[in-house]
Amino acid sequence: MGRRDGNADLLPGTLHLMILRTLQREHLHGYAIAKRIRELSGGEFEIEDGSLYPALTRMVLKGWLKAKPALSENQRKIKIYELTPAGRRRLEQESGAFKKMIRAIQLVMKPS
Amino acid sequence: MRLWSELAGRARYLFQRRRFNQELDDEIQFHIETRAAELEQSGLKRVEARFQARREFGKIGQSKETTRRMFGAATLDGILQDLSYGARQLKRSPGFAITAILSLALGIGANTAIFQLLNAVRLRSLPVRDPQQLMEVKIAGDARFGTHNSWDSLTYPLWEQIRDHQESFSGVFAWSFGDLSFGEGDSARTVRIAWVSGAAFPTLGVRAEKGRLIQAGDDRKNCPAIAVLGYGFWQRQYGGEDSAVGSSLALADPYQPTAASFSVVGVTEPAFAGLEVGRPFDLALPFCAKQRLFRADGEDSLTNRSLFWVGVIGRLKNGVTANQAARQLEASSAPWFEAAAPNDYDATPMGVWRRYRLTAEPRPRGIGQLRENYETPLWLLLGITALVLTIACVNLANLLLARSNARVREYSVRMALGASRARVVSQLFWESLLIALCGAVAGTGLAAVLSRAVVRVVSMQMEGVQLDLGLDWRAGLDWRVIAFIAGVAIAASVSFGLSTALYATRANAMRGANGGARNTTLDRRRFAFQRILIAGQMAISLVLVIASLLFVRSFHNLLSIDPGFRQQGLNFFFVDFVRAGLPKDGMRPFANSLLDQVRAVPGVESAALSTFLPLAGGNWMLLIHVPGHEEAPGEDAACQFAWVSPGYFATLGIPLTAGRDFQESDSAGAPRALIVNQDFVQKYFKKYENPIGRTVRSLREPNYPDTLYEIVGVVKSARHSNLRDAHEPVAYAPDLQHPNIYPTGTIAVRSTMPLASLSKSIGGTLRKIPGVRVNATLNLRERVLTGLSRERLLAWLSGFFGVLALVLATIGLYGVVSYMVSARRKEIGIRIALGATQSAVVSMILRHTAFLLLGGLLAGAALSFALSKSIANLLYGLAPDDPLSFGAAAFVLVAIGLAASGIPARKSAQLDPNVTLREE
Repeated sequence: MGRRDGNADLLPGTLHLMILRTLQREHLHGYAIAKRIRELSGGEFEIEDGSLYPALTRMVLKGWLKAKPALSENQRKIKIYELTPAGRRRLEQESGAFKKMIRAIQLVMKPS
Repeated sequence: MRLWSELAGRARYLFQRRRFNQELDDEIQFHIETRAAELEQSGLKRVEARFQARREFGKIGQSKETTRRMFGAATLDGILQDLSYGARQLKRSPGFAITAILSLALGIGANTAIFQLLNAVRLRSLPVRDPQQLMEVKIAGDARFGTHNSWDSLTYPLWEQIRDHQESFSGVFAWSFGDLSFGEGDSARTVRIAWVSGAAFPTLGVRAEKGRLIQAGDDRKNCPAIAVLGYGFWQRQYGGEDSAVGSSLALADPYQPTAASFSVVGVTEPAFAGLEVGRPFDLALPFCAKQRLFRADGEDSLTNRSLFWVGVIGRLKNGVTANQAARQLEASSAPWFEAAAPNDYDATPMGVWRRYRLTAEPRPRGIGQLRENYETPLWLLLGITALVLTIACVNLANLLLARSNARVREYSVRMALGASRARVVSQLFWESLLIALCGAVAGTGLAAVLSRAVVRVVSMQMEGVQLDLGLDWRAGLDWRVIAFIAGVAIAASVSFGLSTALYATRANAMRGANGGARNTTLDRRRFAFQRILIAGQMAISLVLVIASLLFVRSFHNLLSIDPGFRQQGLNFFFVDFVRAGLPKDGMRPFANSLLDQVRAVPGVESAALSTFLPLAGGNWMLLIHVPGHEEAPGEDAACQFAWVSPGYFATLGIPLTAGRDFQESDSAGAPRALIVNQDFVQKYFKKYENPIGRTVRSLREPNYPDTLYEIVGVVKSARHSNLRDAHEPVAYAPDLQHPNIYPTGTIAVRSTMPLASLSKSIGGTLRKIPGVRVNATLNLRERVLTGLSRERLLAWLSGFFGVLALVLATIGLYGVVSYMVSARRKEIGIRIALGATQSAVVSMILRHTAFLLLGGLLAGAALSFALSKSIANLLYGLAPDDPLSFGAAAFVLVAIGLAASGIPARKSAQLDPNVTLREE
């Protein structure tokens, strides 16, 4: 069973990290998460929306997120995602690791 | 912890799949609508906005699929989908489905039935503690006298020596079988007894269901008469009532006038039915209680040093191997034989006795005649049924291939639309598994019928056969049988399903989708797979047909053996006059007076007394000395003896070739007379020597003194102890001169009347005489036929499977040739249009199949030749490479092969090129 979540262009784990980060402050539904990521990245990260839901589902299964059924303003059944304590711990680990990686990439890419 | 919750999440998904899928749909729908609304606000047209939103989202279907796959559940979803798709496909072509399922059911059913029997007879361990530690103690090598070299081959005094002195085992016990009559008067019937020593149940680790079992303390001289019921007997006879324990029952030896009372102390656990495979005991009694069945002055089987009737089982000590135990016994058993030596033997047999040593063999699965007789045939039959199943699978593979060729376009369209090859293959695979599943279910039903039928055939020869076939809900399912069925079904579906699926979805097979299914010329490689399958099928069919011919011919040979006497109309009556209370010297004359009464019964042509039943074993061998004859060194002169009354040879129809028959004057006081057969003369006298008047001495044995006889006659040799041995020296002595007296008689009666009415009239006459009982009657020919049950079983089943293989192979060949021909319609049409004659077209097609046939037959013949050596000792009267069987089988296959391919070939030759060439 091949597992391909996240955009191919993104570094592995980036999408998870961004979702965790987005949900750190507020509880959001799927569309709002996608929109917030786009806004926060200044339009740089255009995540393909289709890959969002597989990622969310996987994170719920991992126990990082909790999905609560809710109704939207136009009375649509949706799910509101929120971070669990396990998700918070995961965010800390991942952002640490991520920072290290970014530093490493910057060092490599530094114009000589 | 986390793993658990993750697994729980996945599991929850499986049960709430529908709800989850709905929620996911809702979420995605909401996502797209919200985005579209946003875009519309920013100035796009409604339609464009929706379109843009969708495009941004990407492939919706794929997203859903990926999400579901997160649960690892897509596989299950896919399987369910594939299965329902497969079911729809099968429903659409019921002809294919029925053919496929039926042929698989036959294959799986036959395999399962044979496996059930093999499992019951051979594979299952005794349901006792650590059965792999059990060893049978026996005399090493070819034990020659007194014993028959099978179970119960030791004497009771020898067992006592083993019990008291052995150090190889942690526990050792004796066990013997016997029949006693249970109940009194007309309701009396025979029950199967297990004689056990005190250590038997504790050493085996058998539990009591009720009450207690026989224990060490019960095994002492003059012990109380106690009995333990077998679970099955308790259920049948006592209805499983608790009150059975504590009650008492009457048992009697058939040859003793009075019954003895035994008190029931317990019932054995249901799983344990005794040491003998397939033949459960009814009652277990301690050896020491045996004397209660006999008169005080009678024979004492517990002290008899020449009565071989006891089997001994030991349990290995921890850490001691079977080999070590056997060697230990061999090294230490000499003094035991010395201590238990029989006292009445002549010096020559005593020398043999002193050379005896004990050994031990592992018996984790119990002992028994059933296994010795049927193990090899069952393995063989399992091999045969496996081959039949292979042929059935090859047929299915061919059918599926033909179908898949018709569906190539479907596959290519689906793969072009994005289905992976794995997905298409898995769909085809599940379709085949569905077929296999249906086949397995139907096959299991068939197996239940077939295995019971086989047990019935086996029971013809052996009474009281009860086998746990492992497929009875009440008795509990045997996991081995279930696993076997599942394994066979899966192996079958993998072999025909997966291989064809992979083959059909290969890239070059897919090319068919573009160019139309019918190529103009024959692409040889395209049929290579089918051709190999067909040749293989032919090879296997040849093996099966040869095997069935060999067994059928062997069985026929056995049936048509001339035993040297007339079997038809020859009946035997077994009578006893225990209750007549005669003195010893009155018994032979009394038996002769019974004979006179039988001879007077209307319908009786002739009758005679005898001490043995022809062709049934149970004969009496004596060591002899013939003056003037020197036996080869290391050999002992020995001969079968039978004691018969005057008129015996006339009754059996054995002609006298020299001298005279016995007369009334050959009585107890007269000189000992002997009639020998021609084989005896040939072995012990020189050519042209007249045996009449010569003397023969038989050596001393317990209960039979050293005796000097004079030969008074010679008879033509007849088959004696069994049907197969043609040349056996036999000596007949007069019944009245038998020194050892039993109150029994075996009366041979020749009559044209059927046995049923004959036993009514003779039984009526004999029963009027006080103290006389008729214990059994039999017709010799029927007895011979039932004695051949094993050979009959092999002949029937292998014949049946041979025919089945032929039918399957014919269908397969016909199908493939028809298919190949139809795929070449265009080519053939062109050939005909260009002037090829009908016969040229036919011979072209036949050439191809002849090639296949030849290859298959050569491979099959080589395989049969290699395998045939292993069945040599199951055959009678023909060599395992019998040229007639090989030739006939090959001829049949060639004829069938040509017929099966000739019909489609002829059809194709009649094609109208105008029609075929315009088809596309």
